[in-house]
Amino acid sequence: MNTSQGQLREYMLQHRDKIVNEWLDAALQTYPEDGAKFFKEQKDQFANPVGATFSRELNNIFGELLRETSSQQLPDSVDAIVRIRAVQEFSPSQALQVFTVLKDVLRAQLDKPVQEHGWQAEYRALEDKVDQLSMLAVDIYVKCKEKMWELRVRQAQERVSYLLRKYAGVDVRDSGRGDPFSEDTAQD
Amino acid sequence: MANPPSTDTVVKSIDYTMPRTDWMEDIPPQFIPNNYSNPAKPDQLEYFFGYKGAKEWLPTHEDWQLPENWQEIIYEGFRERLEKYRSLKVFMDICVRCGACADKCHYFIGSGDPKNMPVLRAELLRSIYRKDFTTVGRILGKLSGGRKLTKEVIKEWYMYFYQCTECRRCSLFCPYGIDTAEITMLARELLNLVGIQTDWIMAPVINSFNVGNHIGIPPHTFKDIVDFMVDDIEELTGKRIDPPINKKGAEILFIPPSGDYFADPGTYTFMGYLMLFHELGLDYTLSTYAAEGGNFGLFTSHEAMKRLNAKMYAEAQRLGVKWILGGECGHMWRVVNQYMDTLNGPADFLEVPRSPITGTVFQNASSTKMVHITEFTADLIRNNVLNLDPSRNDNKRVTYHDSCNPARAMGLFEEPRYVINNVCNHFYEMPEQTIRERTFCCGSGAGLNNDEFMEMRMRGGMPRANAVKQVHDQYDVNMLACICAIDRVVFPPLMDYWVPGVDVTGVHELVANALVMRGEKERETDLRGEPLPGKEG
Repeated sequence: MNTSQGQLREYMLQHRDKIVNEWLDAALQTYPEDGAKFFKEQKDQFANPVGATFSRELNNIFGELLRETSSQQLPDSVDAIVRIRAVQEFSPSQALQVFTVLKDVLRAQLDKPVQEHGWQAEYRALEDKVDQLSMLAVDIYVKCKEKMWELRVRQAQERVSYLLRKYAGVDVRDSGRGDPFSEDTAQD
Repeated sequence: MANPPSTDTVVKSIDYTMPRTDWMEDIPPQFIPNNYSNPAKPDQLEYFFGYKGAKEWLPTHEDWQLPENWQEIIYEGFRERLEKYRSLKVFMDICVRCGACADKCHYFIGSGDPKNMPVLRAELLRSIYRKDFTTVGRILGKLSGGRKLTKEVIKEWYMYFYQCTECRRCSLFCPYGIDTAEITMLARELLNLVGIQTDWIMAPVINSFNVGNHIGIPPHTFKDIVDFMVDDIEELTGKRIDPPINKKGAEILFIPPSGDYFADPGTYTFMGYLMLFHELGLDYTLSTYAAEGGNFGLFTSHEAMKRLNAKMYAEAQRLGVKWILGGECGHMWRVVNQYMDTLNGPADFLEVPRSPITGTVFQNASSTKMVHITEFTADLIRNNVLNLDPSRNDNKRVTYHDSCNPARAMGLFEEPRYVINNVCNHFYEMPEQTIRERTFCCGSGAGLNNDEFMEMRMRGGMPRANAVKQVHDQYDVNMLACICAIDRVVFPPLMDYWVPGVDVTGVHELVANALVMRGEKERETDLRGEPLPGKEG
């Protein structure tokens, strides 16, 4: 049994603010300089919803990584960030870089203590978690993009929904929030 | 299989670093599918503006098919407008780059793209002005912040002036009162001169001018739609109503936004208008030609705006009405309230609006002769004319979005809230920095509510949605009320993406739900066919 188990976690808890702050900086580097500055510095969550969401949710995600088993908070927090990135002007890999860049941040912050104290095993487990986190983000990203296409279809229908209903007998209201011609909704 | 790119490679693939000098020339706009609005067709421009020689082009193409003398056209157009509009010259000269506006634009807040800071967006135009229309600029050139008019500048204008929704939130914070929406309007007008315009704006402009509404619904179809609604209303209330169309000599001409009679959920708001007017026994008429309050001319040129505004008044004159009642429309109210008088007014052939029901004279509309329907209805409620049962809306937990133009261009804050509070029992305000004059735009105004732009609109509308989310989470709000037809079209997808579980309504849909009509049967459902509270089983 590895007697050092949990020590890396303790170290990360002690340095949580610093590491999360470094992660936030790295994530915001993907925006233009002036935009990143605004996202970081404006603290009002209504004046700056993007920055506020990043600050809040990166911290939450970090907390989840430190848990033995993650809770529903993890997908919720990842969703909050990915939902924003999916409609900003990024390629998929750029959009999800918020999560992949965490490995770089962790290496920079933890390499030294890990080497010093022999926490390699726990560190590898942590990196596996970051990989899982990135995979979770991929799933959510794809769902967000699918949602966008669904909304496009929906809007095209709703724009002339009254005409469709009265002239073509097609009631887009019956189909819920989806494509009325898809398999899911055809069973309704 | 190739190795996936390393994180470092991906990081390096994003180069947003702002160069310290010449940033506007050094970062050309990147047009990719879904980040621009599709261009207008050459025949649309020729038809409406008499613009000859336009060719097909696409933003993703290198060559935008500009006319040979495009620079001369822009310069001459700019010069002419600087002389004609004193405000433009003032706005070009007076900005001190204090930055008060910088972080107030919903597109900047949602994207972090500095060229969406209103000050920098205006700088895209101002830099050309400074270089060629000021003495210091002619001498000092780049040192004074000027730059050459190149084809890249035209592309940049198209990118960023078509990311401005002309909502004027930024103007509220400008110590000099610079109206960034007017800068956008003028920049779009200049682009228009060289054949650069969007289809989503030109098609509605032409349809509205020729036929009477944005999607070109012909008069007989308009009549059909009204008849369909009459059937729906009868089914709901047991009452058969007979809305007058093109009735000469009526006292009032009612002009709705057309979105309210072909697109859900606006259709329920339109039914609400009809039910209210019937209950009042109002002597009014609908018109098949003035069947559109929306003025997409505002998004393309003063000329188009003037012509679309004029047709409403021409129709009022033809029908011989006394005054005009306007529906829950957005941009129409900016045009009527702030430009109408110098475009086409004053409308001396009409009378100062006076409610035939309460006797209230609407002095605020003494020049334009046009009253907003929430002013009209608020007055009815104030005078206790309507029999209302707000409990019929008890399954709706409502918040209110101050639609930009009625809010910031005519100061309409209290009347919609007064109406909502009298027809609903559950009303909750969003955070104060996001409502009233500081309201966040839906992200889709000024002709940006097209399909291809939807992803951009999601980020532009994010600050609004974020405030809705707050009241959704805190008070379980499930209904977003608004008084603009564009809002009613674009909020459903915006809510569905950011705040699932919040639906969208016009104020007069809520009014009609609560309105107890004389002799009506016991209602089982609301206007949408959903069971009324207590009648679910």
